[in-house]
Amino acid sequence: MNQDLLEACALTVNVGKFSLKNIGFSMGPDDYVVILGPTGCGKTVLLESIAGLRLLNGGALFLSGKEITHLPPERRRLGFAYQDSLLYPFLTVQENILFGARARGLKEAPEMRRRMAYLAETMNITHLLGRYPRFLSGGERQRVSLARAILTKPPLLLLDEPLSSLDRQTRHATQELLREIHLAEGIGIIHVTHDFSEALQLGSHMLMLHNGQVEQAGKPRDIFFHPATEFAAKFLHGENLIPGKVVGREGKLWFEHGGDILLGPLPECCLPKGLSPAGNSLTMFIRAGSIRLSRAGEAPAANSWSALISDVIINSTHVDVYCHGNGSSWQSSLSLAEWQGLDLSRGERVRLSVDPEYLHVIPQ
Amino acid sequence: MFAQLTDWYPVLLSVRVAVIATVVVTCLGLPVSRLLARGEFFGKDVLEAVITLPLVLPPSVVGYGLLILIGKNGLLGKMLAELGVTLIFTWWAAVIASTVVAFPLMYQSAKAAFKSVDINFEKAARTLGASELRIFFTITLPLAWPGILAGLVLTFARALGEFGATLMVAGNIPGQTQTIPLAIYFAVGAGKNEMARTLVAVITVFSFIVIYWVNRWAKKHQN
Repeated sequence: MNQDLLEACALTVNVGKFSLKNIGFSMGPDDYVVILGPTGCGKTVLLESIAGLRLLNGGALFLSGKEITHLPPERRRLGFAYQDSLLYPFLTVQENILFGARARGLKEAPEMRRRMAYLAETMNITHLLGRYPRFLSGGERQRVSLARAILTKPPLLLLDEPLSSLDRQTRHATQELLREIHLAEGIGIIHVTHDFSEALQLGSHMLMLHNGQVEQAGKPRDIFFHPATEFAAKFLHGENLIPGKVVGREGKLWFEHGGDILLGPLPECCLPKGLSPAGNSLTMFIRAGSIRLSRAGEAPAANSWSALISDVIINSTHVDVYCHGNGSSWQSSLSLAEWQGLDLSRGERVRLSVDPEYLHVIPQ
Repeated sequence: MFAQLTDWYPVLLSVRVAVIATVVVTCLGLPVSRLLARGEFFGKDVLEAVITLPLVLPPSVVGYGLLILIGKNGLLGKMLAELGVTLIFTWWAAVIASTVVAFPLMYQSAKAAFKSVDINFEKAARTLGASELRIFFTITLPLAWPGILAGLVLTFARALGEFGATLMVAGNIPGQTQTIPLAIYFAVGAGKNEMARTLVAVITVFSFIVIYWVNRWAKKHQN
């Protein structure tokens, strides 16, 4: 990441019995950081601590090189938008957007008026300025909330589940808007969510939290295909998590499952670092889309094994095939065309195979 | 049936006492209930019990307590006497009695109203650069307004009807401390039933108009 916009050093926050432990990360003005985790992992607490709404029990925060650890929220000048927009019901849309300017005594400033008009235009809410929030749809409210948060041009925008309360279509449009804000305003964004698809689509960097600690950090795509822990793999809907062990054969490392299945040779990059893996119990992570499915008659080849189809779920975009073989359940995703060509049904025997480059081992 | 009301003093005094008591209760009650609605500190439960006590105790007990406090030989009364101020058996004592008795009503309503305000509204305001004081007046108060209005109506009504504690600390001095409830009680005692009926009619009509108007106003401003 480039020159630091925000630097968080070993943040510790205690909230009752829960605590956020030793969170550290840094981001530049071009970064879109997504903080991902299940409910109760501490992601909102982390966001509120950055905003200054919660006191730190340890650690330090720097914004553009200046320490803000002890600065109250009203002086940090960060934008903050919540899941349920939190527009003030007794103020019109225009008054809501101008709230930040009014609080800073700039309500009548011409540049604030211009800025509000500009934001209303880009967010397509100009026609709503005179209305009260209760007459707005969820998507409109969220747009007003975003306009309110960035009115005074904060260098960093904090978003707490900004898309969660929206329906699918609105979510997609709002997602586009967030991307636009990030690029056009040149504003760094920290976006908290429990939905990893948001991280994949928006994030330049991802921080996965679990029980108040960083589970894994990195580029969203890297984490999606190479989760470092079983928790991360499960949270990212890892379809195939297969127990087994790594064995050495012919100078290369292979993954052995149930004595019959031997996968490999394992690529260097998919092995956990700093661990001599041979002989250890490990878990193999394979995305359903990486497992190929073919008719049972075909000749056995390397990295393939036999299984029985136990269930088939046909979606509008793809087909999920659940199989049973060698004491494990396997899930394979096929395109609709592939599935039609195979002409298989439940109970039939099939051959599953995987390309070794899609193998990823996580320590058990 | 009714007597010609020649002496309007009890009516005017009752309204004056009730209005002043309501203003005092509001000014004291809002900050106190805001603090106790959110804060947690040692002795909070005890403090809450003390604040609510006048609601439960018979007004005569409250009156006796006030007598000990602001009476001629009372703890506060003595100090005030040295400054040349006498509260006991003046209409200011009636204001104090009404204030103490009505305070818990405002406290309970306002506390519930403040608690019902989503704390995230206040957090959002802070991130937008508003100070605590500005948030209280521009965010919290408007959001809690319906509950506070209910507290205002209850406070005013309770102050207007205050009898027991007022009688003990302000006495029943016609033209000085005699409010409507006292005037009615002593009119009935003296067999002046027509006078009593007239005052009952006046206070009933007045209270009805106030409550009707407040409800109408609240309904109109609800949205």
